[in-house]
Amino acid sequence: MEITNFASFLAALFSGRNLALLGAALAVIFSGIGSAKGVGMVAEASAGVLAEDPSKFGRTLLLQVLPGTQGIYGFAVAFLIVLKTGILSTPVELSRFDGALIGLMALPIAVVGYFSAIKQARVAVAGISVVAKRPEESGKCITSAVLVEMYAILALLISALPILLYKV
Amino acid sequence: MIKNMKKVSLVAMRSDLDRLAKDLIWLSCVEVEKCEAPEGDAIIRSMDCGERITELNTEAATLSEALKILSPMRRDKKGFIKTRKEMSKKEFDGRAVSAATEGAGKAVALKAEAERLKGEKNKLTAYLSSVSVWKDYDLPLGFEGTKSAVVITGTLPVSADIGRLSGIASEELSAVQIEIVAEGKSTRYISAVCHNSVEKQLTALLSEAGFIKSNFPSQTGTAREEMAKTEAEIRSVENREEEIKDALSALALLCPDMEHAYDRVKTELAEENVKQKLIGTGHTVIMTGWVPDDRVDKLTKTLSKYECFCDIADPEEGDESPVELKNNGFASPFEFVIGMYSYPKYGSFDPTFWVALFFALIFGMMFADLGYGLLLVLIGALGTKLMKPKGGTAKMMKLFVICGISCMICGVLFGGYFGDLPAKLAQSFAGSHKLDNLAIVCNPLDEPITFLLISLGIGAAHLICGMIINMVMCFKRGDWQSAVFDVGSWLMMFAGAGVYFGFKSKVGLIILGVGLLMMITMRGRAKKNIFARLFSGIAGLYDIINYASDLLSYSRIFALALAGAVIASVVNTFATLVNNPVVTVILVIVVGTFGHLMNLALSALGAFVHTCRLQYVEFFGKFYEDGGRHFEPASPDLTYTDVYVEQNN
Repeated sequence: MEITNFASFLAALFSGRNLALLGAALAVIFSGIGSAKGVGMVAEASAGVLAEDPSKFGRTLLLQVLPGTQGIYGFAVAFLIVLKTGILSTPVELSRFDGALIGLMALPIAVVGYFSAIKQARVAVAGISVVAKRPEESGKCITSAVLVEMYAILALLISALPILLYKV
Repeated sequence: MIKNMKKVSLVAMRSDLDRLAKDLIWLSCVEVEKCEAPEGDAIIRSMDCGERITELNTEAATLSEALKILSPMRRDKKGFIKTRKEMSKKEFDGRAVSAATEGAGKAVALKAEAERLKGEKNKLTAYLSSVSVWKDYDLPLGFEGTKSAVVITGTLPVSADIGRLSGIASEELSAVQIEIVAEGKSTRYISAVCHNSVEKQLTALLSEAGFIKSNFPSQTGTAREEMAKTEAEIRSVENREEEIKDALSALALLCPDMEHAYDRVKTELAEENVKQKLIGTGHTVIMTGWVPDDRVDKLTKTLSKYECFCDIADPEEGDESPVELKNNGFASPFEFVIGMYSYPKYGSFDPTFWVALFFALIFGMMFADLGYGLLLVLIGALGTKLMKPKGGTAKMMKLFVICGISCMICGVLFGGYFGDLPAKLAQSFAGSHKLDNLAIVCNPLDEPITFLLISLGIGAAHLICGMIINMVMCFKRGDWQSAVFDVGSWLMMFAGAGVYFGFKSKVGLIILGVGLLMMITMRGRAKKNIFARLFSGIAGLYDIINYASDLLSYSRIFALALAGAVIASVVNTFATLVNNPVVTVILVIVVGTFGHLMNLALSALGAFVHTCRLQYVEFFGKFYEDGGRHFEPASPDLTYTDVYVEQNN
């Protein structure tokens, strides 16, 4: 499309493909920020434990990586969108409607991923203090933290399924 | 299966106690209970080994400290895989420990001295640098003046105008001389000489300009003398440090002995801890404990060597028997998964086999990939071979192998070979799309709904398995009503719905109706009032929400399979991004190795914790009675050695 005036510039900017890619960006950005915050919180807490007893590294590591999965889910959704737009191989022409729809489908994992990563990290931080005192109970702490992840998984499903199934 | 436990009560001669405790430790099949002596009894007392235990604890602490100190100097251990030294019991008992304990004590003392020397050296170095600025000053640093003259030394900030100061001083105070000895970055080192009558005025003048007096002790010599003295002292400290270093590396040769000694001490500590739990009279000791059913023969055989009385009985009501699980080779690694949650109550049901079956299946589905599965099998097999682990780690390694095999099978079924590596390679090298879908059943990325339904199907099987276990447990308890009406009614409803939707047969509706009726009429069977009873039955239908959310939870199988496959696909995409065969080969090797290993670690961990959750929350929620105490027999406490007992006695 030739860009001649502001309206055509906007039209080109908000093309179907760009809207879809915007969704991909949001999925990675928000779930990534959430996971980074979450992993950071748990890592800080475990540093305190490790200062006392470095042999607990394995157990604290398990809790540390838990809030990291949301970022991966967001990344997975983003990659599915990128595949849909075909910009890695042969670009697909998406209508503005299709593009907007695909972009919007990234929102569940973007928003839920952000919040659930942080909430999960708080459970994991609490778990770290349990591990400090009673390392044999780490299995239960991990399970409690995994309970929070359920909702990120549901969000991932609702983000990924329509993107996988939507025919453009 | 939960092993049957027997309660052991033993009365033995006190003179045999040491030998007996040793035998029990090496037999490793008795959990000794803490006996409380009857209060106020004049004859029966608790055994007191506190002194010896403290002694042994100190010894163990010294040894472990010495091992930590000496570990950087050891030359006998290479690599980060820790193997344990195998030795026979005879060698373990016979090998001398005194040299090792002595060496350990020496190492700890030397390390303490080295720490002290380090502090001393720091102090000397600081002193040296504080003295060396005065090296152009000819008077002794501690010299404070003659009978009528005072010498002041100290620092002034660079900003202070010394010319102006000495001007004022010589004008107002007379008989004052200020000299700059050295120039520092922010300070000047000065000395001032004056008649003792004007000392106060001079110090006041100087302090106003920011003067800080140096406080060298009065016997301090000249800067050059002090420097030479301090340097000599530092040299001697350094020499001593070298000596200590050499002595420590000489002691490092004793490390294998120290490791053996550490295990010996720890094992003796275990013996003492057993003794500490006993009660006794002047000549006898009394012990109570637990022994698994299948080890009773071994125990009685050992005890027959002693003059003692031994009673082996079934646990009574109110006894808290410890729990030991017994399973076949396939299921026993999964006792680890049970242990992470909580052991089942004694006398309840050990679900290890079913956990194992579904764990392997669900893990395989979540991580369906032939390549990753193969790597897991390799990790498990190599880990077992190289580290020769025991206990929990050994079970974990076997778990890797079993889950890896399951992943490989699922990988073939659902078309995962390091993600879509074959497809990407075929596209990149031959431009062909022949290998795009290698799945036999379905590929989670191409047919997500089919895969999701398979996941939920496995979930349904898992939940129903849990409900059937619950039913069996109820029957065993003799509570047939709960089994039929509370669990059976739901199972009938599920079966009915399954028949109706699966075969489109009206029979299904009838089964469903019967189940529903059973539920509504009998769920509130404890209630007398007919309306309360019906209401309770109808309210029970609300449980369908729980079953639905439990089932929905299994959608995570699809989600994790999807995430893993997508990340693998990302790695493969990057590896085959460049249209040049040579570059592609290099990229596949470099990017592929790095990326796939990362994905392996993350996805395997995710699959592990989420499979655990499905077991703990969804499956165990249906029937599990937790709160069992794990059976922990008194046994040798070995960290560095692996002792095998000869079969000659």
